[in-house]
Amino acid sequence: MNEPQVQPKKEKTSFTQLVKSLASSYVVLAILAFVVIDGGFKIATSINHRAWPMTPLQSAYRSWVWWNVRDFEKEKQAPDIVLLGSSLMMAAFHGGDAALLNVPQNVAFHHKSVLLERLLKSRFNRDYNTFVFALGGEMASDAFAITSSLLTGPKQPKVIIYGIAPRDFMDHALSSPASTEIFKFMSRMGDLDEVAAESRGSIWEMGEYYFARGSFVYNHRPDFIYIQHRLANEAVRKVCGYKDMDYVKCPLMIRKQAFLELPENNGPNEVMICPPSPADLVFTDNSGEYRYRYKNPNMKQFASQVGYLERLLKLSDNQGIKVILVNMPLTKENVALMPPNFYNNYMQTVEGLAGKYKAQFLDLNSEQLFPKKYFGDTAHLNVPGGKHFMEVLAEKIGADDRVAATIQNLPQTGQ
Amino acid sequence: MRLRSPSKARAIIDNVNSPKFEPTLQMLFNSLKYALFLPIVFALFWATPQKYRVWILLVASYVFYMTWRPGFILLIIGLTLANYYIGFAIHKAKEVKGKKAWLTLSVILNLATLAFFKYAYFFNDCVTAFIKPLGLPATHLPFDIILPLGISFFVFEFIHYTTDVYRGSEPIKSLPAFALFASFFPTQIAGPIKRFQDFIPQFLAESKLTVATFDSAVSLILLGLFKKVLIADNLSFFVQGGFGNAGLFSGTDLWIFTYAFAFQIYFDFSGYTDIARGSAMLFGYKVPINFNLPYLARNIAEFWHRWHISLSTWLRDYLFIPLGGSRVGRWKVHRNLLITMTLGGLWHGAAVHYLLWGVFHGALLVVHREFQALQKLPSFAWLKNAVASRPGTILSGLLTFHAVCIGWVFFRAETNAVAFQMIRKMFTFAPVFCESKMVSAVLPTINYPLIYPSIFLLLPILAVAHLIMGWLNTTTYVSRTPKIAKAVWCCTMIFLVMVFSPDKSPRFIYFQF
Repeated sequence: MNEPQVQPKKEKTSFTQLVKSLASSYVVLAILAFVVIDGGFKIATSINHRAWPMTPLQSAYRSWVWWNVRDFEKEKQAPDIVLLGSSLMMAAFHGGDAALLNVPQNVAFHHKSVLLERLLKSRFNRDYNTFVFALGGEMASDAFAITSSLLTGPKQPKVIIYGIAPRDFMDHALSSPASTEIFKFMSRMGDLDEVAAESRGSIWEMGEYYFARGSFVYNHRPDFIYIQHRLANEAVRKVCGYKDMDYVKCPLMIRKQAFLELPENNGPNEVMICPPSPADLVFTDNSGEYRYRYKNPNMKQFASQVGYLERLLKLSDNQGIKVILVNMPLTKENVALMPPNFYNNYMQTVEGLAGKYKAQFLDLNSEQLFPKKYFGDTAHLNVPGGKHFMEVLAEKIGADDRVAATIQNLPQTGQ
Repeated sequence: MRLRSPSKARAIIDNVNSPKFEPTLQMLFNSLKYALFLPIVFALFWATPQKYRVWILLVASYVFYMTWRPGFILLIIGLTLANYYIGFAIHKAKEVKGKKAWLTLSVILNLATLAFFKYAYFFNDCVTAFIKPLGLPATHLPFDIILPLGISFFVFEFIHYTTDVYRGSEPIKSLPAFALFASFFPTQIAGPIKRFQDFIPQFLAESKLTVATFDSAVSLILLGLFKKVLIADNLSFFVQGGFGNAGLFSGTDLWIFTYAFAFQIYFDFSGYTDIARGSAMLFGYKVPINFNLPYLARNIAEFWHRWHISLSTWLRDYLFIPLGGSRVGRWKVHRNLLITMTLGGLWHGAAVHYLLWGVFHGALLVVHREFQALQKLPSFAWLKNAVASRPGTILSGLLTFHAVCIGWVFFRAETNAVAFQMIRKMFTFAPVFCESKMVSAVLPTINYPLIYPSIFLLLPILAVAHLIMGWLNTTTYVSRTPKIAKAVWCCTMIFLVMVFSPDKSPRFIYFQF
């Protein structure tokens, strides 16, 4: 049987022959079919976005940011104050409430700082409604992504309290701003095209970004995974007879273990922050982790992350959101791990930006305010430390006239 | 409900940016980079006149290797030049003594390179373990050693080349063709281990690409990606959880993890091989198959005819036969099998658990030989008939699969102590409802794509798929399938691979060897 030639070099093949050869290829046919289907979906959804009824919250993965966004969407009104920050702020906020309420705080569901609300109420004699978007590993780029995607619309807060630390601007473990789970999820929630180029660390990431922009299927991978997950759930439910696969009494440890190996996929009862107990006051030396995070100072990354902070401040300023930047407490051992002069450079930079965009700056990194007994490790506050942090924050807000005025004069929610 | 202290909670929360996901290899077959690289090389290759095509592939292969660590290209080039000239020296030597001396030099050079990069730490640990009881301090290597990618494969190809030239084959005259033989990018990192007698003539002959070849090549690449990113990668998250924390699980759990690993390593490596073969086919070259449905093997000898075929035939030709093969006495054959398989185990990695894996397979082969000998006895004719019967065949297949699975425990376990702990538990037969306090715990769903919660459905499906593929191989259904059905199959593959590839795809398992 004579096979048609795809690219015979020596035989002079006419264009029609080449097309004929290509048309006889089932691979070419498959690629064309895929392009047509993919393009069809893209055109249909660009004409009517309801043609594809999936939302970002319909996700097979339930990352920490997913739980936060889900509950934020449920909020009926915009919060007065939103807290942003990394696990430093997260530990302080959960610890503070665990100490105040004396019950374990569920990280997936607990997003309001009850302690801060009460402290501010007692100081300013009015009610405040908070929402916390402090998430583990949150970089300045993530904070910007949250602000621009969620905090500038109908749920715009009056004040953002953003707890920052040097690690939020320079982390050796970070490959690019767009590589974090928070940034990826927020890219689905809002339009981050403006920062597409600089948030991708390499030409390959950019290539993938543009590929996702061009291909409907690739761009909607999470939706298809969600559909598959639902189908698999249904199948297992039918086979095993479980009423609800979300809460299965599991006889095999493997499910639990597999779950623990996927930190970005967090269950509703995965992590609880417990009220203070002597056992939890043990200091853990995590300097090895921070030595890694601070190693090989990447000033390009630092400048890029500072750029995101500036964008956040500018955006907030334009939207009329007051920003209070809080320099989070760290142990002196942690600061000593940073590259020489880095901490001073960081302080000068963020203070300068705060001044430029009329944001208020509170420096809480002081050994007098936060002695070592308040730390669970070299960076994170323990449960009593979290309570103390909120008390100091409220006190500092009250003591600083400008900050106090900002908080005091917020329009009442519902007005 | 699990209660955690803040510090333990943070360990989980902060894991998002943990260093363990740091990528090390720059151009994986299942990456966007390769998806761009391959069509570029394909276009350049076919747009170039025949006589320059070897150069195009050689440059592309070196670029491919240098995307990992550019400096290590010197290692490949150095070994290529050395073995190229040694090949000529062997050929030109008039006396056997001279030929032998050159061959010895080549073997020592190649094995010393492999030993330095791959086994230096292992030897150091062995020395330390030996001298420690004597009260002497532990020894440390004065430098860090990085294992060059693919070294175990190209070193074996060089040894094959010089040995075959010693045995009388003609040496390769064209230096670029010889350099390409060892560095050909589709097979550079994890084989299959090629034979120059099959490969070099293809380089030198005029390449021709037909639509049928093109279709087969792309279909193979898609099938390989499907195996790797859909099955192996998704299983890997599950397997890692089990083998990384073996002490936490019951015997039933550990059997399921072991089955999962058996399919993970098969789909990972055979997926890689399919992509390699498909990529080579795009340039008109045929690379031998490396797998032939190994889990359908009815005995361990057949398993090694179906699993990593290029390695098992290399070990047979360049280790087992030179040791005397099976043409010696009964106990010497057993010795040869044990030596061959033990060294084959060590080839996979410089660790005691790989060595144990090799010894285990060697022992299985010895038992198999003895069992075969037993069946030949007139008084055991009934046994031969029972084994040849249908139930006997099924039972043999199941026994072989489970024996291989036990071997995989040694292969995959982090240490030999963990392997023994797992094996002990696997044969303790604890009830499915283990006594752990977690039995009554309310656990959240595991939402990972494809695998969770479908893991319990997936493993039987994979086993059945193996049987179906075995049956399909005996029929002409695939070749008679209409083009439109093949197009639908390919389109589905493209969709599945695009959607269900994990964001952080693990490296191919055999890249570490």
